Amino acid sequence: MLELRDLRVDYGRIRALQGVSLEVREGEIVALIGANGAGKSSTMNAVSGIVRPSGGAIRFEGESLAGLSAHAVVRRGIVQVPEGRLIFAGLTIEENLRLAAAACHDRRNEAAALDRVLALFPMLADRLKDRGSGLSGGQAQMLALARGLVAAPRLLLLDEPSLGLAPVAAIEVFDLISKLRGGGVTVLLVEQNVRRALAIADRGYVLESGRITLEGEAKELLGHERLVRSYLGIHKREVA
Amino acid sequence: MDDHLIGILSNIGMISFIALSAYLLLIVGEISFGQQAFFAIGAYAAGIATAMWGWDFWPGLVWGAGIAALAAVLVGIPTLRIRGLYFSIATLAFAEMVRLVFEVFEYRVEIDGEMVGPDGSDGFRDIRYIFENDITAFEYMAMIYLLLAAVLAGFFLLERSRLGSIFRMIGQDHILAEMQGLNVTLYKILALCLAGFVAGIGGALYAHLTTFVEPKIFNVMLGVHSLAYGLIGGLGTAFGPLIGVAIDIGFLESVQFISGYRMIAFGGLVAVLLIVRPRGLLDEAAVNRIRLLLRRHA
Repeated sequence: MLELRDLRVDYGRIRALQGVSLEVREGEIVALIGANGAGKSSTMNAVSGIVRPSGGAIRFEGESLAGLSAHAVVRRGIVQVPEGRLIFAGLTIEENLRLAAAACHDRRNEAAALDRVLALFPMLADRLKDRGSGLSGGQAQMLALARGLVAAPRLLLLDEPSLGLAPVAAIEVFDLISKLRGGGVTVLLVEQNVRRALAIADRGYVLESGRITLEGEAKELLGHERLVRSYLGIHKREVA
Repeated sequence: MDDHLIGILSNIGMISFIALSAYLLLIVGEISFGQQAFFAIGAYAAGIATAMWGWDFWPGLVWGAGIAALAAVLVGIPTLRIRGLYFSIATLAFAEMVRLVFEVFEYRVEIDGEMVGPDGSDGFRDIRYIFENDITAFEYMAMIYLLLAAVLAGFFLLERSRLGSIFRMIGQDHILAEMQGLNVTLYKILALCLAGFVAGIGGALYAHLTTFVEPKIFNVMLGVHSLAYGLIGGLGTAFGPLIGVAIDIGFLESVQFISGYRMIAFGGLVAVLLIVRPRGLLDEAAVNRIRLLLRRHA
């Protein structure tokens, strides 16, 4: 469904991605794992059209996304939920959701899309008239997720959805993402919480210094020694 | 009503248009130092249409505002790709260009044995429609406020509409707005077009009120003031910029013993408010509180 071939991104003279290739198949949840600065967000931003790649190819359902601006990418069915629970604090929850729905649906489908999403997020349904500024971190992340879903994307890009959330809220977020499976949404998930991300993902890629260094089934990766050593905090010390 | 008061009120009404125009751009997150250019274009275009081509007042006014809106779109296409400070500087440069063009713009025709029309830096004299049609100062003031009421009604409809929410979204975070599938550049050009139209109405009213348009009054200070009105009065509602105008023109400029210190007081006011209330007296939070209060008592 989504295919990146040798994707390169430069910020001035700094090369953030040095040729990333990965694939997301329809219906999958794919985790993209890596340390800070490895290039996870650059990869996502290149797909969603916020960052212009300096080389390589991005194909979505067989068509190139090269040169499309961010809003045009959304209309192709790719929606990014950016890092940091970014919502429109000055607008009400309803406005946040409706405007996201409006960009991708006509008026009649818009109401249906809204109802469908509110069924997933009963907390938001109760607070439609409240402003975004009154939400807690976990609630704001729920709103950001709901806003991503209301546009009925075929591919959802989730950038660090659990970052900075209380453990309970993070669990809720991961539960929700795993519920999306089978609902016609494909997910590319960037996460620092490697264990949880791989627990709900089908496959995963590990990104290090702008390169993919490891890929495989999520279950395999969870047991992979190098990954365990680098990201899961368990250090095996060999005694000579 | 005495003439002095009518004069002050007419000025407040007229300047409110350019203040609203700068306010609209502040809502979409752009700072323009150049709204005086569209005010000037509206003044010249409406003046030419009525004084030289013999058009009636209202079609001349709509024409003036329309030309200003068109100019705004033409400016917006190249400049809105650049953002923030660079956009502000570009608008300033454009406005100075417009002023300098009017300094050399000559287009005169003979009407009843007299040469009428813009005459370079000598300005554009004899826009005498309101005298020739026996419109009193009071009646003209009423016309200004009628139009202002109409434009304000337009702003309130806008704020309640989806377009208004989109404008505020873009003002808050244009990248996030783009991520929602909104063509941000297109919406910004639309905002610039509407703002140009509103400034153009003000310019047209100005031309008829003073009967005499001089390029040098459309200088940077007019643009800076119109921007400051929204920042003083508040960005939460279209009433905000009007409060800013009322404070400046109605109080600082018109009360005799203060008027000598107008710029000092005005500059100080802007500086203090930017620190204490960066989005003005009636900012979004204040407007929400007022709305809640009204709802509770309704």
